Amino acid sequence: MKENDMNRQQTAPAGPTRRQFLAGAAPAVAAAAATLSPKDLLAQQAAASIPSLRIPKEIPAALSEAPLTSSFEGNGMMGADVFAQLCKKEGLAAMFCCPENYTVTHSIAAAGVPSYGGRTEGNMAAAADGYARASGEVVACSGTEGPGFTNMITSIAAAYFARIPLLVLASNVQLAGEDREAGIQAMYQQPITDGIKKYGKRMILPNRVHEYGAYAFRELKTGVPGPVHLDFPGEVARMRFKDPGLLTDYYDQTKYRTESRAVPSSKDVAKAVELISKAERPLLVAGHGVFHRKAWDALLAAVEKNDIATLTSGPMRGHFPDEHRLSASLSPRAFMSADLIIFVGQYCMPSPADYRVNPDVRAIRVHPEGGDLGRNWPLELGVVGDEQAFLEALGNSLPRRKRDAWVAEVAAARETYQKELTQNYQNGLKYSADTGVLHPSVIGKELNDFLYKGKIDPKQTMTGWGGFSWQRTTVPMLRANRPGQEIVCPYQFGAIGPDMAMMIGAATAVKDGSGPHRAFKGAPSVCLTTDAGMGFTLMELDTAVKYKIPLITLVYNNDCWGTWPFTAGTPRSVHLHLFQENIRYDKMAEALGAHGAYARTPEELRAALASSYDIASKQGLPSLINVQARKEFSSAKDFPPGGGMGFEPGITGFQH
Amino acid sequence: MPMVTRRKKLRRSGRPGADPGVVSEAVGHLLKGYAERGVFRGFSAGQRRGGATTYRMVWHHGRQFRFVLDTTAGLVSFPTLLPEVPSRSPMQRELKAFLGAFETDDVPVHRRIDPAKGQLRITRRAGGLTVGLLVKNGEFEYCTRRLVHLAQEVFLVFLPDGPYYEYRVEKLGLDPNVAWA
Repeated sequence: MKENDMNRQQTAPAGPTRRQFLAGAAPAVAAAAATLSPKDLLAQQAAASIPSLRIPKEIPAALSEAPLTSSFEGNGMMGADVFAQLCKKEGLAAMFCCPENYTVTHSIAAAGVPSYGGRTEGNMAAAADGYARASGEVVACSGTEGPGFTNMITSIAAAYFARIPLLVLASNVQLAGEDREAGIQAMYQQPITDGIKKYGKRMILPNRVHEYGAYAFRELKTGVPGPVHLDFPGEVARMRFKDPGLLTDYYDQTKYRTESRAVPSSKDVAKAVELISKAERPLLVAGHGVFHRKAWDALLAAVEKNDIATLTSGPMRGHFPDEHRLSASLSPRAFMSADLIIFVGQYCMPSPADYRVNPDVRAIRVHPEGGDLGRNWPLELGVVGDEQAFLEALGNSLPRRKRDAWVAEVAAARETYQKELTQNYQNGLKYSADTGVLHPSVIGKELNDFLYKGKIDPKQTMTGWGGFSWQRTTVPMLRANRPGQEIVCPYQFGAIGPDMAMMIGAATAVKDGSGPHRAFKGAPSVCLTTDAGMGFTLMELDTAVKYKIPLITLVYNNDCWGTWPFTAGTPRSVHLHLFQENIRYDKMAEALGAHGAYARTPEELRAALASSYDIASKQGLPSLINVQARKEFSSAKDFPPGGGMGFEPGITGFQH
Repeated sequence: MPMVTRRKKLRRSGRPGADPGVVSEAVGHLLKGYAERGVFRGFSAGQRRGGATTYRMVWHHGRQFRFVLDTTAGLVSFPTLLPEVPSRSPMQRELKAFLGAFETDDVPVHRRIDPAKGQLRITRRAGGLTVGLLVKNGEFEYCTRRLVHLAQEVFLVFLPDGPYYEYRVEKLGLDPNVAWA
């Protein structure tokens, strides 16, 4: 049966494209049909008996429904409505879910929070994480009790280790059925997120639903961000309230949390200035906290005043521009020269041997909470303080200073690294010509030319990447010159696979013009993922088509897991790491209504990028470019420089 | 020992003909400082045997390193810094070129080996490569500091940037589950 289906697909004549169909180009299709030969016409009629892919009219209709404002009048408000109203008032940016936890998700959607329904809870949680990484806003994900919830675990963990303000909502069956195995899917959720959440609560008393909602947003919007996990038993979500007086702590966010931030002491700022003044070659690592606190202008002002070399770290990049004369992101050879390293908002702290710095480097760390200062990296000075407040104080206190020799060294190191990348590209061109498929360094160069050196505004396109096989050669060709322009999908947790789902969320943030993306609202985004990742996320192209998310995904297809190089010396394990060769992910993408393209040469990749970007810009449709490579490119011996993890801190950093 | 007296002795340790005991104490103090700044994860003070003092520290890849101060030979070294490197192999050649650059103006002056104070010495020992500095003009502390920097360069730049992933996994204990090829 399957074989027949495949034959039918292969022999069917080219009919109207899905884009034409989706765009409602029926007259053009009819005109085209009129010119077909009788044989083709018969074949088309046979094919026409298979209903074509289409977006049901209920989707745009539902999306255009006006939000509802629930009220204690009449039938009153359910617990879920009370919580949804709180989410709306708190500015919850979006919710990504699968259609479960109905009472809560329906209330949130009805309240007017932009809501997206996808194919698996895990991917929707990754999409919510991606939206939050790109925008800096709180975003929710949701799954049902039991399996829907457990599907989200990997993504919750990824958000936890990347310090993302992710609101995890999961329904729970009725408390009345607890311990009785009543029905299905009953489980106790909170212990399962122990170690991967900032705060969590299973609500039991319905009248505390607002109180715990407030608790959740207090945790989400203060200090170091992290996932908050609330689970709603049926008794809480569906309890009806006609009198707000029955709800505990029913007051707004001006009372239950604060916007106040810890201002660093003048003594600490003076000490920091003293250490920076004594240093010849200071290096500032602007972590996630600088983005989270939107402190990029204060950062720029401070480092420019004193010529401090700067780079970014964290799950997003761009809060210090790669192209700035003080940027050290592409200057790995200079790191070892730094005599002072200043961590600001570095939430995930490396140890000294994790970063390419010399053993005598002194360290300052600025962090919003004192409890983490001194962890992993002994400090010359630890400063408790809000990132923005510190950078503003630093900018006000630092003297103007030029550090010409240090700036020149950073520039020379950048030039050296650029030469290495160029050499990689030259080698890659040769490898590509020899093998007939694309080496990752060629992919990187083509992307760089297309996104930053052509007709597109170099600051326009957000990129995000995952996968390790091209980390050393493709990733360094991406650029981040505005806040949130690059998403580091595997940051710290290193989950394989969620890249495309995460980038669907991130691309939605750009589409919405959320947070720092306002100036580029609606612009296409680009995702770099791998064939391994396809096993986790491919079906979410259906979600991206459904919501018209303009995401262009490049799949590095080397026919294997990135783990393939580990099989050296253990021949019987090789099969564990391999897939079928030449899988056509682009065809699968087409079957899901996206644009598909296949590239084996630089010319094909160039054309695929151009057509995909055009389709994304004009039609809002996602694309998948299947970039065929081969696994041996990861071998440093046969195809130097091979794969590898790059370096950190800097442009390839993803661990800390 | 009273702090003032100790500091005086440590200052004198850099001079030619300095007391080996004072040199050993100064070098030990310097190395301990790296442990206190988190560079080494563990450190044990040296035991003197003849003119040589051996210090041990837990460092890259969680491995124990040995640092030998030989006041008689005027040498500081990391014996077998890189184990099991085949003789006349490309790796040996490339390591020599990499470290040799620190005696040239290929690297910024603040990272160079001052020829008036020390001289690079790479030797084969027990199948591996020992990296050391011949100490000139009694500059033991300078050479200790420089040698620790060079070892850091080897483990954080030379090895990860070169085609040595398999070597790092097989010979240095790099965990392939956290550091991918």
